[in-house]
Amino acid sequence: MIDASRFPGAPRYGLLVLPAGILFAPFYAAMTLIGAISFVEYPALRDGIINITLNNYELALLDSFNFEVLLRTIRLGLVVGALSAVLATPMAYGIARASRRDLQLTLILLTIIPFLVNALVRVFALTTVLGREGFLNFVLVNIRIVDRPSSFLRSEFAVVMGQTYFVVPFAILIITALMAKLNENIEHAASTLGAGPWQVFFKVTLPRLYPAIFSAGLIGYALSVSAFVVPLILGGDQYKMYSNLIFDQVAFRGDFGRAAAMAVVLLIVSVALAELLRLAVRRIAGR
Amino acid sequence: MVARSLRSSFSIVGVAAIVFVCSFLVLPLAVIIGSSFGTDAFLKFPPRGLTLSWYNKMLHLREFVTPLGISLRLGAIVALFSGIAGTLAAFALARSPYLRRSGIEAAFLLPIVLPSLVIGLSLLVLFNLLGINNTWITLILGHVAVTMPLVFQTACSLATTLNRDIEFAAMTLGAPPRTVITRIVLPLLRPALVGGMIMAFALSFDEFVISILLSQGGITTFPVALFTYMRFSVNPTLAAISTALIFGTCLVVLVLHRAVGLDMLFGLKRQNR
Repeated sequence: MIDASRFPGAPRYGLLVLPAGILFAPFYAAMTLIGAISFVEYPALRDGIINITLNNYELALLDSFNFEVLLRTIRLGLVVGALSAVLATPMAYGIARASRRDLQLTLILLTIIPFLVNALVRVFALTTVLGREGFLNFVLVNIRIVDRPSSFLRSEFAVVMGQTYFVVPFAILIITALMAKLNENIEHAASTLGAGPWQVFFKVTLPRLYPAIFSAGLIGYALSVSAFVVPLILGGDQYKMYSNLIFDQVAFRGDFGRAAAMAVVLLIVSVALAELLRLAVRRIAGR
Repeated sequence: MVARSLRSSFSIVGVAAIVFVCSFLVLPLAVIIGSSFGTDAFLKFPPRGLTLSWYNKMLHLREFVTPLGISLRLGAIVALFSGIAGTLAAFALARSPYLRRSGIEAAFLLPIVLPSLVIGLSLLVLFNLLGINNTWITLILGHVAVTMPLVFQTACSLATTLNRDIEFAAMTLGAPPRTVITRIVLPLLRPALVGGMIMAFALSFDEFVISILLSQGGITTFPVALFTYMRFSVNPTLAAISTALIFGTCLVVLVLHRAVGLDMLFGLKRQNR
């Protein structure tokens, strides 16, 4: 290995990281601050003193309504994570193993475009599918599954569908990225040795994809636990998720202490729980 | 015979599954594009009649003019900041084993996994505490915090594949460092820079949660204006706006594909078969 610093005039790489470091500084300051402020009673600085309290956490976790919403949020995360991983797998297989380049590009475009369309537009588009006069009702009435159209909006079903719509492209990208690296020849070898296509898929391809499918599910979980826009519009007031409660604390009550404690709870639920799940599975799988 | 029917059953199920997922992804967008041409005053499937009047209405909406200008300018500034800073950092990391060991990479990627609501809330608290009231500054810093990690990530995957031998060859042939950087390193890094800037622009243009938290009482970005409009009027004009935005996104994806190659951007290497 040639050491770059031996060359005269080699750049100091540390300096190149500096602009990014400066731009990230507020983020890290803010994350530290939110942790500190979650222990502060609002309105802060009453009579010149800051009251340190655990009440914010008590409210964030033990209040019966907040707790119910938190459980609902975790359930949403688990359902959407699993659903997206399952839906993404055949699509990722299609992209990675497409026989023609134009076919591959089409599938990539069908993944990327919904992924990059404005989030509000996506949610609005979903209301035209799930609403009373929407596409889903049109289909269900015409094939006589239901007699009269009724809105699917403002239900947990709408939130799950909507959030899955947001997460599936992520999951496809994650699984595709791994699958493109897998050696296709092992599959060829298996089929040369007489394995049928189903056998090759379930015994050779799929087991090697499990890590990617699993991390896609975990990322789907983390994204859904912090879902904000989808429940805001598709769930309405009845099916709020934890993020919506945090926003309400800020927007309507101005209580930053409570909001901060709830934000910390959300962070723990999304990042730490996902990490815990990953470790548990690794332990079980014996890897 | 059995083997052939098994093979065809695998293809049929596989194709059916892929078609199902594709229609799941495309259907909502297709329905909204379709409804934007319908004559019904409220959104209904299937739409009756064909008209372009909602597009005419859309072009006469005044409330989106200023927010659109703000979001375009904000997106450009954010793209410039996160594009340049993110690419430089990725390049430095790809070159310096010392930096790679320092854990800086994880620190730069962290915002990707954090809920943007939490990021926005924390920055709001910080800016309130520091007394920074200028909405432009708060919005730029907020958007950069969520766009730069993604720019950095894609730039990292490109920067590590750069072939250093070209630079060594140039140095051996007597090129001064400045020439090596301007004639070799920068052109090789250009796809990362351009792709990163396009992505940062697109992400900033779409960012809603951070904007609504950080622009309280200040300037209104386009998504925030769109949200306000959606709250009060769900009508075919909104479908027309959505259609315009969907085609705008397609355009961005096309530019991205031309500039970097979509497969490169998402870890799919072009395979030679």
